[in-house]
Amino acid sequence: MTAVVAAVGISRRYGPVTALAELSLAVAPGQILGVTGPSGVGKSTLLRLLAGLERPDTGHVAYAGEPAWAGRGVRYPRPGYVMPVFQNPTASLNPRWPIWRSLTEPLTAPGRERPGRARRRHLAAEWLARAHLDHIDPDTRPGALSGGQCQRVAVLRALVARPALIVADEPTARQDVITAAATSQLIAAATAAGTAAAVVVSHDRAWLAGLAHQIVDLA
Amino acid sequence: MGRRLLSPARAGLRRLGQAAATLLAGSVLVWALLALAPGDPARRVLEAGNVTNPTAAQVEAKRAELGLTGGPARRYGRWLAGAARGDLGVSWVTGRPVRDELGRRLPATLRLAAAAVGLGAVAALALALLAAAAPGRWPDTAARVLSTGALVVPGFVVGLVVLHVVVLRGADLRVIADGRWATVLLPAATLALAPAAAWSRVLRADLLRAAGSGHVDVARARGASTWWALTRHQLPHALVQFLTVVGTGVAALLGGAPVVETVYTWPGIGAYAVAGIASRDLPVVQGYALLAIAAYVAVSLSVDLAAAALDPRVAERRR
Repeated sequence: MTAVVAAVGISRRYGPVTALAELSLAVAPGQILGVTGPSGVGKSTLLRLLAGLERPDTGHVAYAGEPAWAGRGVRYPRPGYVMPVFQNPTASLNPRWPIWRSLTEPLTAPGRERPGRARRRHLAAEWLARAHLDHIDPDTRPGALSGGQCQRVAVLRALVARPALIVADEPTARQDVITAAATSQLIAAATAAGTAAAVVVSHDRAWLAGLAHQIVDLA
Repeated sequence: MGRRLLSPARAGLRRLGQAAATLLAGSVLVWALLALAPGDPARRVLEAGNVTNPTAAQVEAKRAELGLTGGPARRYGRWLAGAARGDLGVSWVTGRPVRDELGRRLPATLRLAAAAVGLGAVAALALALLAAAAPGRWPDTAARVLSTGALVVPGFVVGLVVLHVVVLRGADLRVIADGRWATVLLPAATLALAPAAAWSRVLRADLLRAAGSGHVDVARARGASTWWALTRHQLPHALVQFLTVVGTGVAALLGGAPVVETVYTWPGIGAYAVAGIASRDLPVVQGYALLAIAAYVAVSLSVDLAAAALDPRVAERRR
């Protein structure tokens, strides 16, 4: 089976600092790969490289067997192939947009038919209900939500894109146990269908062990 | 959150109070111009009215008429009350009310300022978007060189060069500047050059700061183009700040207007104020300064209110 994402010998330097050195990994469809390790070993850098947000200095990243960096910019097999979820949920949602707009933004990707405003609100409410988040009003803005709520909205937005790969950077940082469990449930449910894979970074080994099929320790 | 947020109504009232205080402080300074200036205003006004050797009685009468009797506080009070009614005194040169002289020239200056702000804002927007779309690459570098150049060359030099080129090349003796819309382009572009350069730098920085947010990364991952991320995610964030900077820049435009108007012989209040300075026509200078202060306070007040209204996060708190 072709790996959803494969990295071969990737490394990244920021000036004199080597953030990540010579790492190789592959993630199969439906698989959740946990990444852990102490601060500063390049966990977040690895995720940004896997997500195609940054170009590795050495090595290659491939999506579904195709090189990600063939030309000048990153090339995804399709829009929304990789969806990132970041540590800070309030920054990863546009503070000026109501939740419905952020949630359904992946649906406006080029090449897809663009649903209208009323349709998008409706779809957002449906997705929220499916994730048992129907207590969140689609018309609120991120500022009116808690960090945990924002994070689940951010995970949900990643799912709306129907991604082949979800990369999540410390998605449960600053969350209590119950909220963290709800967040990991969302990720697990998305991969259970076998359509999506996930790479999840966390320094919480116990939480990661309950979610991931395999854990890489960068230490 | 350590500081309690003011309610929008109270914040608005406080801002209004600040504007009034600024206006009042400015009026004291402008009034002091006249109070501290050497010479006797009553005598100057009489001379302007062709009374070359006024008698002591005539001077006394004029002084009473101009409200120049009593202590400084009373004189300031009378002057302020007059200014509030639009009475800015009479020109020492022509003997005509300053209000009429300024009023006659105001439309030309408003045309020039409006054209300059519009031109400058559009140019700054275009330059900043171009630069922020490709940070570190050649469009960014070109925008930086262009704006630095525009910032360091003074407006009157640009104006003189432009005039020279236009007059030399277009020997058809067409009117270059007469205060109408048809001729506003060259002086407005000259006036807008430096502010637009500064605005574009600020906007570029804010656009790139907004690009560092997670939601921009997410948008790009799901296939958004650079342009889409710029216009939908980054620009709305940077726009509030841009609006404030442009609003504050109107002050720079007001400051540059006298020079540009004089170079182009644009028949506005700026050129009139320069003429007033040259002929030591203090009421004219006072009137211009007061008008400029009032315009600046009014613009910055409306910019602040507009910025608050534009920010949905403020609206959120209100709900």
